[in-house]
Amino acid sequence: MNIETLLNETRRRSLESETRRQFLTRCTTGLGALFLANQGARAASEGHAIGKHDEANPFNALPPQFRGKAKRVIYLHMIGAPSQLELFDYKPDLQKLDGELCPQSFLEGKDFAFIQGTPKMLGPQFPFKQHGQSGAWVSDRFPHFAKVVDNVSFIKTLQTDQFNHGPAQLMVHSGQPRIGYPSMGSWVTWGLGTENTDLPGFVVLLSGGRIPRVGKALWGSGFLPSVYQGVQCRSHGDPVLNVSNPENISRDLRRSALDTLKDLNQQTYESFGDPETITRIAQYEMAFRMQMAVPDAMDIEQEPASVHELYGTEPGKESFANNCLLARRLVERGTRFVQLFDWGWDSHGAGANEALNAGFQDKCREVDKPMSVLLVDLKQRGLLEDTLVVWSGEFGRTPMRENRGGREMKLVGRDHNPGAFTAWIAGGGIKPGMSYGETDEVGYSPAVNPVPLEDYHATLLHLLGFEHKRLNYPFQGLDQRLTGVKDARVIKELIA
Amino acid sequence: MKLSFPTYAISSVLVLSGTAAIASADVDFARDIRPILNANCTECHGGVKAAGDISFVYEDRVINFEGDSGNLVVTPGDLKESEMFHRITTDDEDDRMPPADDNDALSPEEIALIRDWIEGGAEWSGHWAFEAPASPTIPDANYGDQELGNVDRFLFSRLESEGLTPSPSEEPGRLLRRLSLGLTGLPPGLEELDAFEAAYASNPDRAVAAAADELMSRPAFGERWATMWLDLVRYADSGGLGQDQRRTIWAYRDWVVKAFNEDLPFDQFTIKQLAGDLLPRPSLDDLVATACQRNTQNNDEGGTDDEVFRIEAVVDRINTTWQTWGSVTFGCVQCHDHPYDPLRNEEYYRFMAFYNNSADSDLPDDAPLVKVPDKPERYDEVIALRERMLSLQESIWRSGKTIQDSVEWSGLKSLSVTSNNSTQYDVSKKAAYDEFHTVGTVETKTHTLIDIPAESFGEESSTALRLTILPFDPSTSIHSPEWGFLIDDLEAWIVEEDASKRPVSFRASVPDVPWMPTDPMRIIGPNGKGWGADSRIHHARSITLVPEQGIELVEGQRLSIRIHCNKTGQGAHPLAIERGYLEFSSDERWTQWAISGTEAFNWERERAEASSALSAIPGTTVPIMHERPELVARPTRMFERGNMLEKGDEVLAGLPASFKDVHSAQQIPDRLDMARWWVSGDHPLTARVFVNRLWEQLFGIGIVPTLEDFGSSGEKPTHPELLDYLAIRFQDDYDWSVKAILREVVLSHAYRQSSRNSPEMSERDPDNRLLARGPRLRLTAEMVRDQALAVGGLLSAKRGGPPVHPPIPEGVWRPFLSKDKWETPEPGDEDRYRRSIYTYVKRSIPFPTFATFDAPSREFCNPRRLSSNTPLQALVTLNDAVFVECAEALGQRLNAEFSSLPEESLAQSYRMATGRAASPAQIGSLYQLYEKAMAQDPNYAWTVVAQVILNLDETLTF
Repeated sequence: MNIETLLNETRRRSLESETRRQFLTRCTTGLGALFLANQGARAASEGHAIGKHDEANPFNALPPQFRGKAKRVIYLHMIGAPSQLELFDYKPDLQKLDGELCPQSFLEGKDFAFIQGTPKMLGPQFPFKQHGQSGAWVSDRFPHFAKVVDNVSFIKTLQTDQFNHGPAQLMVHSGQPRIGYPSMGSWVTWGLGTENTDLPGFVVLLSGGRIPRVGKALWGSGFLPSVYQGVQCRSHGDPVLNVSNPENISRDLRRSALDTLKDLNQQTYESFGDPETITRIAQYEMAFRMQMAVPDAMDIEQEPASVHELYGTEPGKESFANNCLLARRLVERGTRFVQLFDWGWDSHGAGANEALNAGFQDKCREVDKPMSVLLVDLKQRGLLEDTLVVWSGEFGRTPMRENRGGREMKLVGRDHNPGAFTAWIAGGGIKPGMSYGETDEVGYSPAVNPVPLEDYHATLLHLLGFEHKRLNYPFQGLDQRLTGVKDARVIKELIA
Repeated sequence: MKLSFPTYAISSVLVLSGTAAIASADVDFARDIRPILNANCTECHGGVKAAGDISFVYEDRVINFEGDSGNLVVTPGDLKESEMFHRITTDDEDDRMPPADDNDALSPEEIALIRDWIEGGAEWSGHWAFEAPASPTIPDANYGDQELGNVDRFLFSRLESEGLTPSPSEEPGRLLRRLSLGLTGLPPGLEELDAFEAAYASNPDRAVAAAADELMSRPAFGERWATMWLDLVRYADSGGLGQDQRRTIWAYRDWVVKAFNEDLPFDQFTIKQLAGDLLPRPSLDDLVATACQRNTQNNDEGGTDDEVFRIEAVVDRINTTWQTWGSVTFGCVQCHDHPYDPLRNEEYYRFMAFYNNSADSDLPDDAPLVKVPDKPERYDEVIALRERMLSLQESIWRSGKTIQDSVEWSGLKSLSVTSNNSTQYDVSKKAAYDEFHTVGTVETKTHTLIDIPAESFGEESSTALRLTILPFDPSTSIHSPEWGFLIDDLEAWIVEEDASKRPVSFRASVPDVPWMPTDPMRIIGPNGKGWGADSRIHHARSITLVPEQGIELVEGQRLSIRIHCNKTGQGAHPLAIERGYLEFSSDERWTQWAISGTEAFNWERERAEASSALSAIPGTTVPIMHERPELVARPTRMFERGNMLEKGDEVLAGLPASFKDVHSAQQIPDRLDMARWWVSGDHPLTARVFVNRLWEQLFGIGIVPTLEDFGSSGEKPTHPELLDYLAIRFQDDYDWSVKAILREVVLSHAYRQSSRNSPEMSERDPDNRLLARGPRLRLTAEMVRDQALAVGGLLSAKRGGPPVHPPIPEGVWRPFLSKDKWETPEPGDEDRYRRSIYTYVKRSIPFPTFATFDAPSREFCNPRRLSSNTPLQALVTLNDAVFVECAEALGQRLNAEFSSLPEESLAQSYRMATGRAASPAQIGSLYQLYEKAMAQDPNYAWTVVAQVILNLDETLTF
């Protein structure tokens, strides 16, 4: 066959494919159908109450189960577990006990990561003041945050049952201490899809430094379809893995290649009639758009100098500040769930980089301004009212001073305390200016209104419009949910 | 062909778990009644909650059973005497079941079914999957004038009854590609396609059979099927959780590949992995196989509790075993009876007892390990040396132990005990000896300093000392063990009144158990490896120390002992002595024991020789299963509501009552009996579960679609008789040969059908459960990469060995421990192009390409991969460095290897990637692109075209 014939044939085929294209747009079975078929038979009988994703697009936006105020989430996790006793949970009585031996009643039946025998009590290391109209206590380590504190509500009595970082971080994000369960972001994007399918629906941003020890498991999709796992976006290299074309391939040439691919795949569809082929064509087109949309969203250089000054951002750097600004840019564009991980908050006192009287103070400086500016920025843009901003660690820290190896350490630090820790929430339908739950006089355990993690999760889901029991997925014989098998209570007091 | 069907036929096909709309005279309990009970009743009257003591999971809690109300729940044949029927039909809202507040009443159809069932005698039957498969009658079926095998008869008779017909045969090239990817995970080359097409033209059946046999004889076969297995047994090259350190366990991965390649019968495959260590005189392979159970996660994060994660590992072993071999969600039973299936809470812990006594205990070094030589021909040598060491060790120990048990021991009193740091000891006087114990905070690196005055020894010279270490609280530690102790050195002196001193040296020691994998004569001291309970102590532990010469003290002198405990558990917990006492013996036999010239002395020399010979053999290691000796065995107790901190009654090993009992020569079955039970031949699950997995790999959907759940909440088999046929064929006719059963399946016409679909068919049977067409599946993650390497001509044929580090996108590799390096071989180095199964599997950083294409990260047993289709996948196959390198290589092949005519090159590469000839139009499209790319960058034009070929829908599916 000579080239001319080939080209003629091609022209004829391309005319034909015009009409075929119209047919294809009407054909709606494919990937979505595949997922739903896999869940379908079971889901139907179990009364799952999430909508059905568009059959060619597992990310199309879906309405929640009921009207939730919050449409999207920015979750700021301080990996390592910041000390609530140096930031938000003011305990003057603890000051009086500073240096005294810890009462045995505190130690009985408790497991510690590093404390041995009988440690000494440790008073708050920084002065506290009340701020704003709400009169919230904030230590002098967070001066910027103190100015915007009326926008947030605190939970002072969060509780977990894990006292090691890996399992505890998993508890916060997946409700289970083991690897292999869907993270909150996966549940939410599975339930709600996303508002801009040219961007990943669930984005993860790391401040640099050490990655969280269980790594990707913190944003994994567990037994949910893998498309709902978080996508890490980066300030270095490709903002999303493989989003850039290879060096020698221009966007033009890629477009031509994709046109050819589309044409060939359409012929394949004609021959084999597999609806999955049509989904694949759509995915390649979406990928092509993503190649533009992601770098655009991630390019903070587009922001004016004034914004950089406010956030303290430096384009090209990996930092918490950059990630706060990116989070705003992403939610502005319709990303459903933005997960930030900062690092270095494990204030044992074993090393200077994390000790309360050393590195902890640098960490406070690094996050104080950007997280405060983020709240203001979202508010000014009208985004705060339907964006939930959440700040937490994975557990609290002990009112006792750590005595690793049974000795007094040179630097000052506190051990892990799963019994009580503080989180704050802003925006998306919460009642601002609240403080929920009170710890005992030394901040060791809840005295009033303990909040186990399942209640916290149920509350966050509620704000997004989900009844936590009805956001479930069958796996290993159980209707699995973020809140686990225990009963969970939505903290109505926090909801506007 | 006309494709139109009455709607009820469609619903009976697609809603396979649905109930018939109209009650019929012959009600089948399993088919008609159990689904109603599970959907409406078992939430309150089931395994978790049994309100009124009634449970619809168990026959004896329903039939002729008097509930708390005093009425019989169901009286067979008597509606009036069946409280259940009254409750589901009453108008009284307070009495009605299910309760009116948040449930609908049963539908008239459901009530009719229950009525008919009770009236017909209320016959109860177990869930299908818990009843042994029965040899089904093979139905008649026709397809043209073809002679049909049994697999086709089952499938096609069903199609016939649905008014469907099978599809014609697949084009030969595509068929070979399906066989090749299906059986080996790799596509056929052009020569293979040519040869097959020629053979197929003369005799299709013979050509397919020959191809299947040949493909199954390739080493690639084992690599493909091992991947499926490694998902189940959660194989990874790292420990997971806290540190996610590297774990050297790849010898197990290679064992699995070899087992599939050698067609190790599945019963042996099972027994070796679950209990190879307990086989009589296990071979090295038998030991390596037990690493299957050592793929559990470790947690080496500082400050973690080894016992917690040891138990997590045991729990994972239980769940993985049941999921892998039984597809039963046994994990449910950890906290309560199973909600739907007849499995009881206590049975979980009885099963736990099979696993609870293995020696591993969440230690960072993954002990116990076994040496695996690089050269397989040295396996026997290694096992012989190992056996020799163990037997010599046992002999030495026994000779010491015999003396120890027959001599008289006297307790030492008047001890004064202090430490080198802030740790404090108190001494309490017991009748027979002084016992010392810590008070308050115990510091790390504690040395216990014990002083004993001469009077304590009386007149006699002491020929041996015995040190006994106890848990701080022996009453609780037996079930909730405390942090243990580890003695890394022990020194002693005879001290004079003026404080001058001379050292006492020890010649030998006799520990309480012989299994310490170290030198039994010099366990402690500068040349020893330490002795103790690392990292947990359940029981009292003791060791006898034999001095060079008898220790004789005169008045004013004292014996001073310094016991060094420098180690910590998980970087935090002091492994110090918290309680203990000392005894001495004056028996003469000690002075003669193990001195030069004695048997024990020679044994020790031989043991040392064997030990160094073993270390001299080059090789790797693998963690294995190993039982703790009786003396330090861990008892198993129930956990209250699944909580390990609350221990309930002690239980003995055993199997769930719903299954036929285990055959055991012993009073209490052990792990080996349990392993044999799975493959005893009358187990209802094992063979069905495994053939269902093979089927799913080939057809994309299992005969039981829920691979993960054969219990009553899973889906029912679409072709129950076919499943039983295959199961019986596999275990009885083929003696568990995986290759034989695979061969029968791939030779079926069903597998060889064309996968052409139509909109009608796709609506009628979207998942292709009925197989009126051939399978069309997306390549697995590993296949996507391996195929690209193969088509690009880059794929390395190197097999096995340590995991490799192919190119990974920049910035991904940021392990928590920076010492864990990812060093990518340079282009041209074959380790860059190895099959995907050899890529380093790190749990916290899954290899991005694999994760994007739905490979699990192997934390837990992963029974099924769901296949997705996403834009991120497109970005991988278009832009990832590996795929770009493959496209460049294919581009170069296009340019150089093939004919100088571009269209012919295009046709060749299209065929390489898809197994079939491209149409002129397709070639035309590619040619147009080629010209456009040539105009832009002639050096890169072929790569652009190659990329399109590697990204075709046909390339990515098979």
